[in-house]
Amino acid sequence: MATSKMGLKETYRAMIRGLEWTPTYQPPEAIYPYHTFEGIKIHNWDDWEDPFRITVESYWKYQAEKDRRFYAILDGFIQSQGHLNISDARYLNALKLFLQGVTPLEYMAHRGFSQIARFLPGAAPAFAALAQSMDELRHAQTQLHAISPYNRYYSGFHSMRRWHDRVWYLSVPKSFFDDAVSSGPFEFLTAISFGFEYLLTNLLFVPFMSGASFNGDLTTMTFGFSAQSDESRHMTLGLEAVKFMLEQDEDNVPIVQQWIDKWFWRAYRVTALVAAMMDYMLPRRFMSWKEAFELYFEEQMMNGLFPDLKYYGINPPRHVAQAIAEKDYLSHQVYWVLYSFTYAAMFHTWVPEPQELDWLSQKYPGTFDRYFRPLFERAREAQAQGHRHYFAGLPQLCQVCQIPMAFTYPGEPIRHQQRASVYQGETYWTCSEGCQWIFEREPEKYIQAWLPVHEIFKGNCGGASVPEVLAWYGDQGDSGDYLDSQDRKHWIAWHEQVNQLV
Amino acid sequence: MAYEIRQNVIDPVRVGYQWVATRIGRPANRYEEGSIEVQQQENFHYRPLWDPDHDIFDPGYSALQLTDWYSFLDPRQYYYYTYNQARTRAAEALASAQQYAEQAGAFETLDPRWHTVLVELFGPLRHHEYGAHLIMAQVSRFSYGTTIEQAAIYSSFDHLGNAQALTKVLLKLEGGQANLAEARRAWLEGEAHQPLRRYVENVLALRDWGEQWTAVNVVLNAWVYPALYRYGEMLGRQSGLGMVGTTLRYLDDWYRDERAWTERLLETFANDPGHGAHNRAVLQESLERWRPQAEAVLRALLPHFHEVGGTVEGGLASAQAEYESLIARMAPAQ
Repeated sequence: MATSKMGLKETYRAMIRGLEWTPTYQPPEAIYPYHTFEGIKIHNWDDWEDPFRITVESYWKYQAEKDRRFYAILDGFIQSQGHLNISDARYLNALKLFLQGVTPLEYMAHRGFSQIARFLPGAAPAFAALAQSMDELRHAQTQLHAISPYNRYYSGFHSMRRWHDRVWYLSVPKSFFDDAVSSGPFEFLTAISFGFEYLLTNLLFVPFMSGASFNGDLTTMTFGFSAQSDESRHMTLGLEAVKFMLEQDEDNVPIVQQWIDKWFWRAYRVTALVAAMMDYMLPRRFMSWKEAFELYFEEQMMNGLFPDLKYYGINPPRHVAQAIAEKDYLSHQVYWVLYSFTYAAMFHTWVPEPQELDWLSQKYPGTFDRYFRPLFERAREAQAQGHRHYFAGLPQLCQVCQIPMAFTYPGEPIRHQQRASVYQGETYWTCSEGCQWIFEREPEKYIQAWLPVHEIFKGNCGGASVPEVLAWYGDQGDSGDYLDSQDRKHWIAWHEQVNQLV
Repeated sequence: MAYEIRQNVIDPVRVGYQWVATRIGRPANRYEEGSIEVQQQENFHYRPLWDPDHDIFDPGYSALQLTDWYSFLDPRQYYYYTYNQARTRAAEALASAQQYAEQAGAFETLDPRWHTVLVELFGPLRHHEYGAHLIMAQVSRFSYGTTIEQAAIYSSFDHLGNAQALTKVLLKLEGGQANLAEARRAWLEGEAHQPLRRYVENVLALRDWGEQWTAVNVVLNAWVYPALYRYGEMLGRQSGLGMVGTTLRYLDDWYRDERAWTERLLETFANDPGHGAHNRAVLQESLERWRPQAEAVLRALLPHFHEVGGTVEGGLASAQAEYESLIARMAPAQ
């Protein structure tokens, strides 16, 4: 047979390549209108290396098999009341952050990659994007399904879709992805495939899966392992996309460099929420934020990836030194913000237990005892006297990353930073040199940001008082301190019920 | 005697995600849970650089409108898992039939008339499938609501799978890779395929996903699959195509499956409580624009069947009936 005479590589090429053609009944730019305006020059789409060779038929087969296993485990979990086997109900707050903040991004990635698949003129990168579009839809759906059994018993999950569109801290991940999909196709690839999926995936996405594994969350962990082979395809696409642009034309190098500078900082700021989650919300911790940052970013990316990219003329991200300087205190600053504003957050926070404070002291010997332990100890005392600490009033948000402006100067854990830029006569505030640089590069984009606090003051969020805003969020006792929560009450009652069986 | 495992049951606090529960008022199945209102709806942060007049997701990307975008649900209830399951089952059946055909030497001993039809008529349709896959990817990006766009992304992936299924047949036939080159040349230059290529390129250049969907799913599909694949397979059974015809059957079966969501969405647009009359007018205009072109596509392609006993009128009759029964779905619901 003809096929058996062909090698695997040749067969693959015949399946994917050469299907596209240059249109003649319509001008090519009428059919492919979006890949030129960013200034990226591509001379030969056929130079694209396909790092993974998969046909549609084999895709169906592998994915159906992976999902068959995933849903079998999920059904078993539901039948056996598996939610009672997690480490502690406090863990679920990490999972809430994941479902509210990350799952909608998977969905947005799906739509974004549909656009890439449609509008890149090369058949090979377009197919890689199409497969990723499918994968991202898979991830959004399997996450909704994996976390659904928790939603039936615990708060903080039921209205995740509405919260993602409305609630203040969720505008951090949402604006990040809106920024990417509203960009051109090559910037989107740099932002998502390279920045999100490759450069920072072990600090953005994977910590939730490791947290699930350490805390007995069977369904999320199963999803995590099941997504691994998809993710490695996505990472490969990210690296290939960047190398392809760099190899096609020297003029692409400064454009890609600026995107790497922008998207490193943009994604790094999103990881601030993950940092707080890792150090504070996991009853069983797998590593500290600082350790993860050192291993996955400094060692693997700064020492591993960037020396390779040097060959193409690419330097490490512009604001990387500031990120490194923050590793000793980032998670504490951000958790303190979350702790202070939990009255309007769709998850719970709490003062860490004494042994957890000791763990933090040990992991952050230079900063924790000096700057942060006293905050939490005072908060515990105040709570014991019936005055749970909440920050009265609403915070100023950074115009770019949208995190409350609680960040400090690099290397100085308590000197606050507020940077002002004036554009068309208006003042805009940013939290850091990185965010200010991003703002001033494209002010016409960032002034459009839907800043939740501004919108509350404008009266666009159900009213100006906290109860009105919470009603607009659809709060059903999802906010506030863990000690006062339904989750805690139920967790104790259900375990008592089970223990009585013994 | 009942088999009765005692279960430790803890009563749940709620039946499911709020937005699904509000809408259907009972525990959702996995299709509903993974599809209804998953798409972001409000407070988008930035206008697209490539289209500042629209939001990231915007009902204004099409003239077709729905009062409630989730009044459409895929009758096949395909979410990612069930979709892949259904497709791998069909692909395995095709692969096993082809393996049997190969072992029986069906590709080598194929009637030369059918060799010509497969390479010259069906071969270039790899590119038609590729174009259709791009169009449906665009529908997946710009349509509004997860239930519509989800059906579209699966359709996009399917069309690429169809292109690969055709590629496989060409590779198995005498000539191998040369058949692909021959088919490509016919797609680009052969007179018979130009109306189809023009049709695909014209639809690709549209910005309104609703019109793209109408032009491909309501019009072109209803003409191409019945007239070429269904009619071709029928001719093959009478004139020596043998087991090689299973690929044609596979594509016709695919079309029947695709039609299920097409007719449901068509009904939904046409019967929308707020926009039904407007949608029917928009659809009617699209049909008038695209239907004659689809017929011209078939009139140019169907003469390929002469050698194997087919007629232009025979193929057209099959397509005409299919098309009429599909657009009958636009009639107001009884």
